Amino acid sequence: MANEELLLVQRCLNGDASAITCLVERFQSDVFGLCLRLLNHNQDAEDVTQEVFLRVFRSLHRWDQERPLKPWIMGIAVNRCRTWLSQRARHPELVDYLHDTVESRPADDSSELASEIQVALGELRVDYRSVFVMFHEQGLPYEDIAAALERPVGTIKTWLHRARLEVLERLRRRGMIPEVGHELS
Amino acid sequence: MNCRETENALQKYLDGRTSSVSATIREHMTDCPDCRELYQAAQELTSALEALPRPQVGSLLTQQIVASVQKDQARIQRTNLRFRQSLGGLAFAAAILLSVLSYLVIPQFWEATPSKQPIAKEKAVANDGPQSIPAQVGEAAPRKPEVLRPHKDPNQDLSPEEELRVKFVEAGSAVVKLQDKLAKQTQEQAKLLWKVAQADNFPKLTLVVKVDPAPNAINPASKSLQQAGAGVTTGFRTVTDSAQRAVSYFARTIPPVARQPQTVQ
Repeated sequence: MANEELLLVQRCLNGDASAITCLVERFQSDVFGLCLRLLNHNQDAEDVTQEVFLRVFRSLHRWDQERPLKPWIMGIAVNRCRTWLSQRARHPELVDYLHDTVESRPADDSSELASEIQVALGELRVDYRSVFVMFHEQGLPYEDIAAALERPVGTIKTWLHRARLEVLERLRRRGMIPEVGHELS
Repeated sequence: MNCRETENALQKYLDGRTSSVSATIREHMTDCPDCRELYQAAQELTSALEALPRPQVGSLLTQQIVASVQKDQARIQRTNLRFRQSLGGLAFAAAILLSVLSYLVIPQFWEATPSKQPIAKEKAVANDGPQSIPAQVGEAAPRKPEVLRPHKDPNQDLSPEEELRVKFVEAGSAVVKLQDKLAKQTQEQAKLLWKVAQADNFPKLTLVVKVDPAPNAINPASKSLQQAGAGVTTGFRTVTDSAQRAVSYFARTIPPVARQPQTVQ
C-alpha cells in the first residue's frame, strides 16, 4: 500500500493527469465526508474539498514518504475546515445556509437518531468533532488521527472520550434512549 | 466497581476493544441507573453510527477538483517562467546600471588622485621625445567601438520578435560605446597631464630629464602606467561582457511572438 502510494505520488509529481485523477478519487470521499461533518454545509464542503486538494498537490513534494498519505491529507482537510469556519464566523451568510445546510430533520423514525447524532456532532468543538468523525466514520486508528492532527495519542483518546460522552449526554437529554430495563446484553 | 471504572469500560466497548461488559460492571449498572442509561445510549450510538449514511460526493466534484488542480499547476509553471524572465531583465538592468555608475565614478577618481600626475609624466619622458608623446598617447589606446549589428538586411521587414532582438542588440552596442567614450576621456586626461608636465615652471620634469635621461631607468614607471591602463581596460571589459551576456540571455528568454499577417496595401 505504501509503495503503491509512493508510486502514485511520484506520477503526480511528474504531471501525470491520470495519476492526479486517481489520487483525487481515492481520497475525495473521506475528505469530503470530514468537511461535510465539520462544516455542516454541502456547498462549503465541496469548496473546501477542492481547496484541500489544491494544497495537497502544491505541497506534495514535501510529503514525508515514511508516513502514510491519508493522515497527512486529512490533517490538511481539518486545517482548511478550521480556517473556513473562522472566516464563516466573521462573515455569516444566513440566507444561503437556510437552503443548503445538511438535512437535519428526520424523514422517519429510523433516521431520527442519525439526525440527532448529526446535530450533536455539530455542537461539539472542532477538535472533538474531527476525532469523532475520523474514528467512528472513517475508521482511522488513534495513531493516524494523532498524526493527522499532530497531537499525542493520549490527547486524541481524551478528546474522543469526551466527544462520545457529550454525544451520549445529548441523546439522553433529547430522549433518544429507550426506557432501560434491567436486562443488559 | 464505581461509575468511573464503568465509564472506562464503556469507552473500551465503544473503541471496539470489547464486545460486552464484564459481570462486575453489569452488577454495578444494576444498582446505578445513570451508568445503565449511559451504557444503553452507547449501544444505541454504536448501532446508529453503523447505519449513519455516508456523505455522497457530487458526481462532478472529481472533474472540478482535477480541473482546478491542473489549472493551478499551469499557473504555477507560468509564474516560474515569468520569474526567470524578470531575473534576466534584472541582470540586464543591473549591468547597465553598473556601467553608468562606473562611467560616473571613475573619472572623478582619476581627477581626485594626485599621484597619477607623476606617472603620466614619467610615461611621457620614457617615449622617444617630448613633442611626440601626445600623439603616441593618443595612438596607444584608440580602439574602434565594437558596434554590434544584426546580420540582417535593413530594408527587409522584421517580425516583432526580431525587432525586439535588434533593439536589445543595439542596447548592448550602446554599452560598448559608453566604454569607448570612457577610454577617450582617459586619453584626454593623459594628454592634459602631459601638457602640464611640459610647462616651463614644472621643475621635476627638467630634473628627471637632466639627471637620468636613460630610458632604462624610466621603463619601470612606463610599465606600471601601461599595466594600470590595461587594468582599467580589463575592468571595463568585464562590465561590457556582463552587459552583453545579459542582453543575450534576455533576448533568449523572450517568448516567441507570432508573426502578424501583413496586409498588402
